Amino acid sequence: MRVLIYHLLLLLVFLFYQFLAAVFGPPLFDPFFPLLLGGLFWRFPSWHLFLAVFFWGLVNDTFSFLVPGSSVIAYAFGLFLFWQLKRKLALRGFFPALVSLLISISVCELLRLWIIPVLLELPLPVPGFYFIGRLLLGTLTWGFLCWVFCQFSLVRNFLEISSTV
Amino acid sequence: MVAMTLVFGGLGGEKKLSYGERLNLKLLGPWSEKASEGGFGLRSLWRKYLWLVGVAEENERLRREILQLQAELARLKEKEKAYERLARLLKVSSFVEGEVVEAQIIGKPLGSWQAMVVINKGIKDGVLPEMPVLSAAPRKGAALVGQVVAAEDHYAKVLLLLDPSSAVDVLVQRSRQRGILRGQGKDVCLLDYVPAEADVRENDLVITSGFDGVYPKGILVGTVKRIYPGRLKGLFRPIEVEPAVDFESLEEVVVLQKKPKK
Repeated sequence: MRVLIYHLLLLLVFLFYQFLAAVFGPPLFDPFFPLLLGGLFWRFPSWHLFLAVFFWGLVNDTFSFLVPGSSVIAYAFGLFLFWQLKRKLALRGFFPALVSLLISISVCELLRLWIIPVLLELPLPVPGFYFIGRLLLGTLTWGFLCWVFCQFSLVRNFLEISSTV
Repeated sequence: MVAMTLVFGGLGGEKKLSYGERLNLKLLGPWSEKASEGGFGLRSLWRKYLWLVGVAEENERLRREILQLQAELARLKEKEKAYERLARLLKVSSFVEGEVVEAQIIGKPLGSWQAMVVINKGIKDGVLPEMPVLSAAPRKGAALVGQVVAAEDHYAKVLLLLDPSSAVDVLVQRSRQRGILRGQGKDVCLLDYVPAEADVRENDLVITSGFDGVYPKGILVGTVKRIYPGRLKGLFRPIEVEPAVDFESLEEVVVLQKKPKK
């Protein structure tokens, strides 16, 4: 049930994003990665989480990039990094976990929008720091909103998430 | 191995899409199409029924404009006939035929700087990679949007002129000065490799040259917006070109099917 809700949520976000893109132009954030990180708190098996990262990363690549693979690799790396910060460095509790979320999103998005395209010799927009910076800022804001949403006790109780996570 | 095959497999084929991307387009294409239709519908409702300030004045202005355009049309028809005669004399023939496929935009980039859209026509409708994509430009007829870069059976990815990966061989229509039009990720493109001494002025029309083998000659691309003074880039003078198509409000496009010269 939780798996179904998780993927339905991602599908709804995708549809709402495309709806907004048709009305106003594409919103300046990556809709999937912060929600995929949220999957860590839904206590899925790790293989399932990486499968979700793979699928939704590929969706992002399909609709957004000339060369496939950059979102998949960046998402997987970002999730792995978040996992390490949370488990190895024990960044738990509201504020430390928020910091690890911001670090993971920043690394993932810079990898996806800047480093991998440079490695693949794709020309970057001019000025690159402006276009990449505003997308990064938008994704960080979206990530923060997702984070706050996940902290609501209603959501936590509905999903039967332990309060120690 | 399966993951790598899904991400990178199948790129070399006719479709130029990986197996995973093909699967995604099959699964999510119809959903995205419905979401985009809803968004375009809402925008249309707002513009046509709710935001009606100044409609009477606009009607009057448009009536006057129609009269002017009819006069212009008569003059252009005469020119067209003259051109046809000259073309026959010079045996200038177009290397493409004018068959087109109309398509609707059903998907936009998800948090990316790449200027790319997904359309709802694919290989089964006769849309193949490297086909030019056009759209209506306000008061200027058809104008270039970009080219198809990958296609699935019912969907295709279109690279817009604005994308930094896009490059089009173009001519300044008035002076026949040649250059390469490159996207920069923003709403203006850069006309590059134009000598500093070249005869280019603001508001000159820029058209495709046909030399790149992708776009037929003579398609309107945009107008010269700004010319940087001096030799900012060695021998060349960078020039900003404003595309004729309004990419923000782009909803429908036309794919020009290229056929080999007979």
